[in-house]
Amino acid sequence: MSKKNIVLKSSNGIIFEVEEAVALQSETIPYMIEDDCANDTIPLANVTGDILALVIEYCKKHVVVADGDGGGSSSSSQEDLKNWDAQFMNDLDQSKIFNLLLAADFLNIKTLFDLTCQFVADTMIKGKSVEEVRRTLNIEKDYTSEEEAKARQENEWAFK
Amino acid sequence: MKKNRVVVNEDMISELPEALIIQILSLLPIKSAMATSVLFKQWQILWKMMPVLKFNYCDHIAKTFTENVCKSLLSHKAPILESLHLNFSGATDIGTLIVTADARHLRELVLKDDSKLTHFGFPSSLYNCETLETLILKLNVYVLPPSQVCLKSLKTLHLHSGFFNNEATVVNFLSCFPNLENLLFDPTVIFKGFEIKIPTGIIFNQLVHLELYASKAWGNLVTVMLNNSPRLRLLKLIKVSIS
Repeated sequence: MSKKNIVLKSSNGIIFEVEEAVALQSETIPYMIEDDCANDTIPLANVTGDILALVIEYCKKHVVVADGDGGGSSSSSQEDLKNWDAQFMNDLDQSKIFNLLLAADFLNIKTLFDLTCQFVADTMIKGKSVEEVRRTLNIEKDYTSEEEAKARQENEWAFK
Repeated sequence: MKKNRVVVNEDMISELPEALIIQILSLLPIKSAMATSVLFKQWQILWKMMPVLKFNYCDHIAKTFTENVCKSLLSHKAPILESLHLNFSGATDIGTLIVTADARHLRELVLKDDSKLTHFGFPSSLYNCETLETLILKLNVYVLPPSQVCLKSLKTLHLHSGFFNNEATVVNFLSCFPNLENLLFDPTVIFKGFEIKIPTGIIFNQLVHLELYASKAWGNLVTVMLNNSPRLRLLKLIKVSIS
């Protein structure tokens, strides 16, 4: 059986040609194929080339394992995939992580979306003090000290 | 692999659509999620939109659990509270918390009592939760249902530990949930081996999934359930021996 390829075009005009199975991990792309069947290039107006490259890298890795040994992948490959995911996220800077999250949301790739959300929660917020989270996420404080004290008082137990 | 960390000084998370921030907050322990309310004024309301709230008494100073959870539920703003998990112990006023959560249009309730020391009366306020679809009880519950109550929305019931006094309470209890689709009874649910005769008219019309830990202490419950569940498609019997 010949493998069908799909051509994706990023917002800044970069073209990616991928196998159909790779692209179809996105639940948004099938609708775009239906809507635009005359043209074989699918324009992704919300995703830049560098982010689309990351999305494709993720989808390629995940499609291979799903095909791997005829359906149910072995526990070792599941473990490998988890390690790969962790490394993949670890190598990204914050700007890429948030853009990847937006792309995964727009393209509706559930596993990538969940992975990115979990990474943000675990590495940027969990277990950190309010000051540390502000520093990590570059959030500028817009509370006065009095306002913040009052807001803390509302749910005091959450700050202990 | 090379590290390519660029220092960004931009607040990117606040630029995300609120729905995405709420998704991220939902993956945090509730304490961390609530603490984000003081990061930035815009964030003050975000944790209150989380569809799932999981409270654990360990996070609270003794005796403040009921009050703290109640306050959080009262300030919750999402149109529907999809799921509430309460891991409590000892002197928690579960009845009050259930009434408060019910006002938030609660769909799923998971109650867990870690102490497992005392028998806990089945909270009567549960029988008034009209929107409740899933009820999971992981506590030593002593079931004494009132007659004539009907939880029409309840589709899933898991009873992990419990005690029924007599045949009438079993019949009364099961007839409270006419639209049940999934039912699980754990081995420690005790029926004292009495015979259950379900009166005609009580039929589990919607029950498709029944999971029972087979135990002699149940008398004829399995037979009765099978005879009265015309739509049953999945029956799981798990053999255990109770010492």
